[in-house]
Amino acid sequence: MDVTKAIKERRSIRNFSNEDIEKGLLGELVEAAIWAPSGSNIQPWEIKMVKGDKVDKIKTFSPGLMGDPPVLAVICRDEKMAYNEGGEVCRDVLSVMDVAIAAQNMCLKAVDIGLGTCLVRSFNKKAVKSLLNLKDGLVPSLIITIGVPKKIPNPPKKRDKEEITEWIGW
Amino acid sequence: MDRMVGDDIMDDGYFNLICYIATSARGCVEEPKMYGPFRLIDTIDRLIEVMDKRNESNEFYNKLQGKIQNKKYSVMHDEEEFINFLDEVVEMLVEKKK
Repeated sequence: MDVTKAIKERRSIRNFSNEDIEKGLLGELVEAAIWAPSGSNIQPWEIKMVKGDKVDKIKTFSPGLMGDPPVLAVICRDEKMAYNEGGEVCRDVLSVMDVAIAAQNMCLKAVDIGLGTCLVRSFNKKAVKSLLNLKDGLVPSLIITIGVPKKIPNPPKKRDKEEITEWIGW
Repeated sequence: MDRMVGDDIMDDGYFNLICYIATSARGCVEEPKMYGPFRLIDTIDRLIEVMDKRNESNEFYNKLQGKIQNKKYSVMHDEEEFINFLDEVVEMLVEKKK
């Protein structure tokens, strides 16, 4: 799929069918994530692909998680790794950007293979960390809900590109 | 006598709803201000879902839930539409109470 088409067709899906998703397809999403740029190429991320009853448990403590997605990708930042290899700026700033870019890669790849996603930040970090038994220093930063879309919303209003751009030197 | 003991409470929709409300309360400390109203109205939707599963709902609640499900996500793209929708929900409740 053309990248521009994927960018423009991606929506935040909050209504999923209960279709199961092949593990191979989900692997393609993870593959897309690892090709994201990363500050100092530290790649301080880990991705927990979750299905089954853990999805329900995480959903219980995630007010922003809507619909009934069959799969979740919990994108985690390894703060210890980020700090050890890149210092405070990596732990506090770059690693946050890194996981966001990786997540966007996954969302765009999902469009390419016919899946829907929604990025969720409204979840209780302590609860998710506990439910997934995450190691010390690993912080759940974003959840991506993944499934076959049942309802695709209309595109939201976007700010005009002229409003947000200043062309300097033209 | 306790109606539920041990792990039975986990299968009770009210338990999940309580988890949702508590987690929302914590989240609202730092989330955008419109998330508060959204979580409250979403709680009504979830409460009616629990009532429905327990055969405790009725036509009015189902109609209310339908309205909420149709418009609650307007908070994501049109704040004014969302606030008008909240007004409509209150109006619907007032009419019922009259």
